[in-house]
Amino acid sequence: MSKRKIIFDTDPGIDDAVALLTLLNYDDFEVLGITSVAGNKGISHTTDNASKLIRYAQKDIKVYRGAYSSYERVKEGLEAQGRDGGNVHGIDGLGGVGLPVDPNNISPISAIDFILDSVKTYPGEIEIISVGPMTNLALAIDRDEKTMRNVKKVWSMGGGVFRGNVTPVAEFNYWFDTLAVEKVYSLGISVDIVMVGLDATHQCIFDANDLTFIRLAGGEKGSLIYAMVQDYLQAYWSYNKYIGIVIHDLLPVLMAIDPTVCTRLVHSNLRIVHQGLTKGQCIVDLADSWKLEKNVYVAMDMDVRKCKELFMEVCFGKEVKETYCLVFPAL
Amino acid sequence: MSKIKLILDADPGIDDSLALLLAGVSPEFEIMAVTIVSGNIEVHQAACNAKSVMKMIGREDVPIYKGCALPLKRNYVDATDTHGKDGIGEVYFFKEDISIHPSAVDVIPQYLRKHPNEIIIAALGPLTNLATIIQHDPQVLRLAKEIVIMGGSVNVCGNCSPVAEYNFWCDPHAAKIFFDAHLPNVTLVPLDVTYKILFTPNMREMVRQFKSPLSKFVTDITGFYVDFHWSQERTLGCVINDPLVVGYLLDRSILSLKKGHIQIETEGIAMGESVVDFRETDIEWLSLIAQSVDERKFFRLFLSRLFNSHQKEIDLMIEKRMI
Repeated sequence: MSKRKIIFDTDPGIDDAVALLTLLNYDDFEVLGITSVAGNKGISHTTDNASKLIRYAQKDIKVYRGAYSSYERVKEGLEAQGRDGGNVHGIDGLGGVGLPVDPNNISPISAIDFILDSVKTYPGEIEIISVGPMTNLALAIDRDEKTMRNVKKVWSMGGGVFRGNVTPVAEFNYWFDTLAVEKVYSLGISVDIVMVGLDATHQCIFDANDLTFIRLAGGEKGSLIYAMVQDYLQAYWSYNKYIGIVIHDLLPVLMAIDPTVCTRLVHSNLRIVHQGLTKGQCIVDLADSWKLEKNVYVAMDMDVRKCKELFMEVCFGKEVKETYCLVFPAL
Repeated sequence: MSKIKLILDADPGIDDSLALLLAGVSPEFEIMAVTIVSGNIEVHQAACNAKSVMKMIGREDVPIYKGCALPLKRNYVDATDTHGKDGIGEVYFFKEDISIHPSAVDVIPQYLRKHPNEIIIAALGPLTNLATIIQHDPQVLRLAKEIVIMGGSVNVCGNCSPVAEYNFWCDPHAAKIFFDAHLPNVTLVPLDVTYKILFTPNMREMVRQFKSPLSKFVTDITGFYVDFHWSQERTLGCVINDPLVVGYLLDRSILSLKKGHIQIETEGIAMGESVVDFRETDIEWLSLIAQSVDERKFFRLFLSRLFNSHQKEIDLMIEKRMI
């Protein structure tokens, strides 16, 4: 049987990095390419960071450079501007771990061309895991909506029904480019879009016990991840008073691998607010009060234990997962 | 209320250092002296560590006295594999100039004679100093109000052999002399309860986030221990035995105790084992042996005392069950 064909659209980012290292280790995925986008950091950083991670994982995959700014600014030819993820992800976006870039794995082909070409080559087969702002996808839809209707599925990290992070009601990725979100979800009637937002991701806190386990049991990769998340730990202590971190972008990857890690998936309608106090808020009509066409599957609850075990198994191997189960007996 | 007069006999040691910190910041105690014995680390470095730890919390006033450098009969085996080459995690390598005179084994009896029935001795290392004192004068330790010992294992595995805990295993003859003296008011805090005092990575990370010199120190000295516990026994976090003794002196409800007769094996494959007979109940010199521990109560006390400006965060983390 042929492997599932994946495109990973990302703005690495520490949580992106953990998600990518996990994704690249999953045997049943054929990762066709990584498309970069501006978000947590500017496009040069996110492209370089993707390159670094591919090199680290020793994979023969390329990065395709994507949008340098939000949909609106790219369309209007304005320069990149506005807020990025700040220093939550460290100065370089990878917590300062100092991995080298491999210029040979950065493709001259643009992210938009790569996405459209891939979907044309494999209509109905491509799953896009989108963990940054949705700008690349929106621009691809703009260019060729008909082709984009042949995407098999979109797994999106972004949004939140009952919580935000940049504001009390808005999550960073969706807030960063609300027009792109609207554009992508307009496709949601014909293409399955699964939204893994803050409601789901915040259930899965990797605490310092888990992270220390990863460092001690996870070999070189474990030590790298541990080093990478230190700035992130700091940020979660300051903002959320967690002794731990939320690896947002990992969760759509885990869900793509095993959808049963989500214990409540709601088929619903999603709309996004473009301006004002609630800019970036995605309004998900869980109770179907608007009676609008359903364009999203929203993950509302996760089986946290299952998520963690799956992560340990895919990222570090079966043995590490078994050790994890011994060290952290399930309640 | 008058303060608790306390002598800490210790071999710092990572967990000993934490015990010294807890005692040193707690206003309930009048710390008469910290006396040092070779154990986790040899007596000279252990004394440097004790001095530096007390300095860290502004307790240069507490006198430090060196005691015995070697076990009574056995060859000395330190625990630097657990505690690092400097005894406290290989970060600081403290140097201090501390005289070997007067010796702890002379000083302790002087304090006891001066304050009869007032002083509590918390013995956190091998019992070499206390046994030597008994050898010189079998009666003088009876002047202690109470002696609380960290050592031994009763119904759990030891940490030096299946049946022996380090402090008793390091100097079993001293332990035997001590318990055979049938002193009144002896309490044993064995591995059975200290194993529950697991300083988890979550606690350690929280402490690190407090970002004070003391929080840095605690984080630094426990790092080595975390790695050791993992590589040796696949325990995540570090067991910090010794502060439990000090915690118990501050809040007696932390441990529940049972009377028993403690004897020490000095030879053979069970060397260092503490054999406890709970059947005898009406002998007046029976010791008390800790049976169970309220570890959450201990950790709240421990963390709150060391980091009292972070009380709210500590309580929040306890409430959220993160620690």
